[in-house]
Amino acid sequence: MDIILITLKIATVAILINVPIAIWLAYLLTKLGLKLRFIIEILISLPLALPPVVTGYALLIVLSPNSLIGDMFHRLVGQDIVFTWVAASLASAIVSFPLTIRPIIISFDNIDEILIRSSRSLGAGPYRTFINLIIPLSYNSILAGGLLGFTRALGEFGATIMVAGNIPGVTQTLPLAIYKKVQLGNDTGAFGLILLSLLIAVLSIGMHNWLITRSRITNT
Amino acid sequence: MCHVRLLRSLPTAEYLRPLIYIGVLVIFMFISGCDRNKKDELFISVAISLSDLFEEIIDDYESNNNINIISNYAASQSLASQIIYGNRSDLFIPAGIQPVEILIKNGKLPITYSPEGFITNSLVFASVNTNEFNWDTESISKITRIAIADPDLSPSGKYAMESLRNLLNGERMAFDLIYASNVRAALGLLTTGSVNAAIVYATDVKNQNEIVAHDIIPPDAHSAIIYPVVVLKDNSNFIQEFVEYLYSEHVEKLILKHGFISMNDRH
Repeated sequence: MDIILITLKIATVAILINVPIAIWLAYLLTKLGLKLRFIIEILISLPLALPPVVTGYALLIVLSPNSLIGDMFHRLVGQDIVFTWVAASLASAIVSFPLTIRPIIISFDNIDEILIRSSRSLGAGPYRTFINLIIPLSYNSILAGGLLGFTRALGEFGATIMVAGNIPGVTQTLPLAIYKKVQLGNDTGAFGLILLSLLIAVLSIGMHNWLITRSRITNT
Repeated sequence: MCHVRLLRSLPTAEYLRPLIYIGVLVIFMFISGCDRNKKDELFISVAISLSDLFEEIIDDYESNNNINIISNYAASQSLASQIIYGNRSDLFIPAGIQPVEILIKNGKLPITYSPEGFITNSLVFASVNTNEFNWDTESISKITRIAIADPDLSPSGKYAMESLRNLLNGERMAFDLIYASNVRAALGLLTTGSVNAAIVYATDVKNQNEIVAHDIIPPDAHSAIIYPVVVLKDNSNFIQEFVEYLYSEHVEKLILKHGFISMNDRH
């Protein structure tokens, strides 16, 4: 069904945007001093603490053709970005970013400095150390963070409906479709979608917890 | 040499499997998104009370023309806000004039604007009982909650408020007024039993005679219900053609079929 494809598309693009940025930012944070790191971590966690509609509204203002960025996009592509699936992806990406980056930050922090220093002293540059040492050690956390972010992006409602609307076939994701059906009193229609979202949630969390258990095993 | 060392230190193939799944998913979604660009596209934002009618109009029009019409239904004022924020509608058909006035006030000037439109409707007072409801104090006192569309978001809510004010004649409301986000949601509240009554359009309850009994609200209790036809963009010939199609005989038959009143009849 359209709804499932759109939901998966939006959530997948959201984590594809998020994971590289999260890895980069987490690495950056390990290099920063305490004060700067404190401030940046607050900014990163902001979408977690704010009501999603606020995040959605902020994105709407920034991306709407009345603003600088929206206008630039309109001139480049010929179309507005708001009320398209791209805007929905961006909204989901922002809202799920804190969830994606947290496990990665923790994992990077827990990597023994000695390993990194050994790698450097053996001749590997910082980039090589990053790819060959840091990433493989954090692989489980990166996957877990991505998965958690994906699950959150699948269920995103407030920000999506603000910046992308509830347009069937274009931006109507699973949560939005359920909302519309319940609003119209179509309980039977909603029930099927609700079961589906339950299934997806159980699968995602199951995979996530399995990854965590696995990393516990490999680390002991 | 560098490649070999890189590969050896990469995680084992087992870890790569999730990436392969994601890769397949990405390819799949791009394929599913690709063929939309081939046809010409029309994006119309229409008041939700017209949704069933327009689904038929759009199906008919699409089968006779090589064009893809994307329809966006919501409360008229919500649609107007979307348009102000950059919703790419070519055509906008709200259920009243205020959304259009707000568009103009915010700088979204229409290319063409037909205030009378091609269709009109009537307001009804709907309830779940099979008993007849009259506007007498006894029937009204049994009602504890009435659902209407939020007057700020939907013209149907405004018409409902006007009707209530005129018909109650200064008496205080003995019931709670529940706002829904649009007129169909108000009906949804009624059919799921959250309220005893709702004020919606006659066309919304047309096919629901088993559940809902209704009483037409006298048309002079509220301002005239009109659906202005507002063209917002002129980058395609299809827009004008589609608008002209709305005034055609074929559509007039569909209008009658869905319980609306064609503007052509009033002249």
